[in-house]
Amino acid sequence: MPELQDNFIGTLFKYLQNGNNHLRTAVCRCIVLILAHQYDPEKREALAKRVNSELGESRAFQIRRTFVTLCRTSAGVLTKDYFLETFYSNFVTMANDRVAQVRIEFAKALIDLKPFIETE
Amino acid sequence: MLAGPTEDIKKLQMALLELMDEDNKDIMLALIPNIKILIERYCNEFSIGQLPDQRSGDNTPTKNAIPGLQHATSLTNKIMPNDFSSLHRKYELNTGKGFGATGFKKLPTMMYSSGPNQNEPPEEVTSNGDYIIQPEYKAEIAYQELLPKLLSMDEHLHAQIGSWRQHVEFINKFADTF
Repeated sequence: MPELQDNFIGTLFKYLQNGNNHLRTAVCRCIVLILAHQYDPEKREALAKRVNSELGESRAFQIRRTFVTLCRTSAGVLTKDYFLETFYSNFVTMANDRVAQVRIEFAKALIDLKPFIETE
Repeated sequence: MLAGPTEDIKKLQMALLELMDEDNKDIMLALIPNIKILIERYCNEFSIGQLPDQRSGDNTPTKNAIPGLQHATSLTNKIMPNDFSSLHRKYELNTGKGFGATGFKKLPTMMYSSGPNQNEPPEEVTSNGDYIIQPEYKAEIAYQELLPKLLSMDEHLHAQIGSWRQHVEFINKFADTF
């Protein structure tokens, strides 16, 4: 998995910038699965940090929307504690995003994420 | 299934790698629907069992892994890529320039030094002997040949206009194998 992350993550982030919505959704799932299966904690942390900085704090609304999709995809794949610790704060700020499409995507994501977060 | 779990599949592996190298769009598109099975069946018990338990040599990155880092092996070989020795005085041997009658002798330049710092306590040095491959990492060693082919196939697919559906399918199926 470290080799895969080293060689493939750059390409995946490029697809997030240039691809269409279908490709972005597939790439989000791919990134979440890499995060879930990455056994090297440093690489996992680096990837999560990159996701937060490049997607969650992006100036482009399409990329912020993609971040919401990624959070939605991570429901049931990542552990609840890891999700809350890593992506939750950025995810919640999307509720007050200035672009309506991001807020709509946030509302759709709650359908999957709310039960995931509330499970004990 | 073309082969059982204990059969030698080396030729099948080679055939798959050659197919993945093809630039032909039709071949690539034919591989995608079955790419998940092809990846999962790329290794079987036999091929993993063939891998040695130990590998010889040092498992730390070598100097050759970083291009541009090399020794000046002779006095005449001074111009090298990424050479930072341009600040050296350009005195040539036996030209009468510099110190003394025969000129300044320039020592071969070492571009990269990874030796221990004399001011710090000695650290544990990796030996050049054999190192053991843990059983859980053997599959990763077996997949080392396949991964670059998959990534190049992914780039080819992305570069092809009008094949984004196939590209999405490829990424989804590839992700399923993680």
